[in-house]
Amino acid sequence: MSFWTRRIIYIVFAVALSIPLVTNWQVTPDIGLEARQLYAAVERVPADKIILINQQYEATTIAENGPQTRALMAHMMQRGKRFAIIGLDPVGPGLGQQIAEELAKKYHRPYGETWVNLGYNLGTAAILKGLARDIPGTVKKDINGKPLSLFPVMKGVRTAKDVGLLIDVDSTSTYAVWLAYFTQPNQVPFAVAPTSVMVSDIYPFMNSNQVVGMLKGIAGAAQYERLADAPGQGYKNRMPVFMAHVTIILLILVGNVQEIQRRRKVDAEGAA
Amino acid sequence: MTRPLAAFWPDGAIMWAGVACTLAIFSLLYKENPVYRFFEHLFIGLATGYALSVTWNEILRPKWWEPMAGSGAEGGQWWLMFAFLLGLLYYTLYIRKLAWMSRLLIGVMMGVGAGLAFQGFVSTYSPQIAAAFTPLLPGQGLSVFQLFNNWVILLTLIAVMTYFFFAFEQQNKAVQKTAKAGRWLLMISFGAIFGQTVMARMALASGRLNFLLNDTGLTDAIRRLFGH
Repeated sequence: MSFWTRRIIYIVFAVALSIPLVTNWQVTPDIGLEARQLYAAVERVPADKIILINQQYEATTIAENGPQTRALMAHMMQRGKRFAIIGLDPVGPGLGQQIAEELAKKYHRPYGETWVNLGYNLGTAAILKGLARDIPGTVKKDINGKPLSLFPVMKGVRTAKDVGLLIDVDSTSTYAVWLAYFTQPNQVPFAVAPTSVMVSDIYPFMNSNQVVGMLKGIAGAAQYERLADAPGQGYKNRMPVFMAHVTIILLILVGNVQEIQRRRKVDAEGAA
Repeated sequence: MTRPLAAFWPDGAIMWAGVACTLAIFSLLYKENPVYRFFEHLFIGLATGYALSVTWNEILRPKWWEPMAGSGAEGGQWWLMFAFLLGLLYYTLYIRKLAWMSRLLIGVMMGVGAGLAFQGFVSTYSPQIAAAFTPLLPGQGLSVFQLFNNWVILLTLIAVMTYFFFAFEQQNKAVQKTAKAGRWLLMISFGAIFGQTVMARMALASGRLNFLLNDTGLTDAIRRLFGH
């Protein structure tokens, strides 16, 4: 491969990805079963229970996990579902806070009334076992250092039994820890919004009903945006990914044709 | 969210810093260069500093320092000092004569980890073992597709497990063919994983390009230039 071959491929990709973004080409996504199941799971959460949204990602995967979070929160704020942001990663809860604040203005949901941010919690298994037994006793304060008892959204929320659904927006496979130490032992419904790389890892858990719904990367985000009637980045970023797939298929074909031609040439030279 | 190109402070400054960082990191695609190296180190430094700051402000200060050293209703829990002293035992690793003290702590942590891993394994995988026992015969309210899926799951499970059966040499022809089928099924799953990996990476690239083209207002500016 010459110095320029790889660079030309990068340029081809940049152009292919940019076309839908510049022309604002958007196609309404077909809704998959996994997104539909997650939507239904959110709808099923009763008013006396809270939804926990674990924000387990950093800026590096915000293009996938950001739209997923936005679509989920938009749905919850539309319906007035109570939810709490939480994270076992220092960056995730802050990113979730930014999205929630933006949506709270649109849907008129002041902080503390229907949503709260429990911030970053250090440790994995130990903190989750603590949360299962005593949520306010384990977290104590929100992301701004205020006692949880000040917020109406936390009223009646004490143990895992008061959690109606846990959604793990994840780029680091932390879903396995939540599953092992929080949702499975306490029979809390569990859904995952992973990056596309992780999707195939989640399917066995859906087959065994340990996971009740899933948003498959950016495609899942677009599907949920359609379900929640809140089009956003999922819609916008889906078509560039489609273009990338088409480009990759074309490049594989071109590469194979080139290789076949090269072999034929070698064979012909050998025969001569 | 589209921001006007003219906006500069404070959102604008943050946005243009983002543009500079993105382009500097993308410059690696051309070739290794000092600008890329600088921004890479800047990112590592920022991420580490941010993580330290958040760990202190959201974990150590409210849950350890203030209860231990604070004077309020929650203060005065002086015994929390022992957590710090026990944590310091890790660093005896660097002193040969005292290194045995670190092993006390490491031993305890290993015991805790092993216990938790056992519990985690049982709660994670036992429902999957149960879910592998699916009905295979018609007449139980299952559609043809569900039955087909159940057969696919069973046959895939048997084939892949046979492939990983290394306890003795696979000489039996039936075992060999089943293991070969398992290898093919694994290859198909690797293909699916590769497709999803591409999708993930391209979604991230698309997010950055959307930022460069739309969030900066560049696309709007080009459209205005051409009278659209």
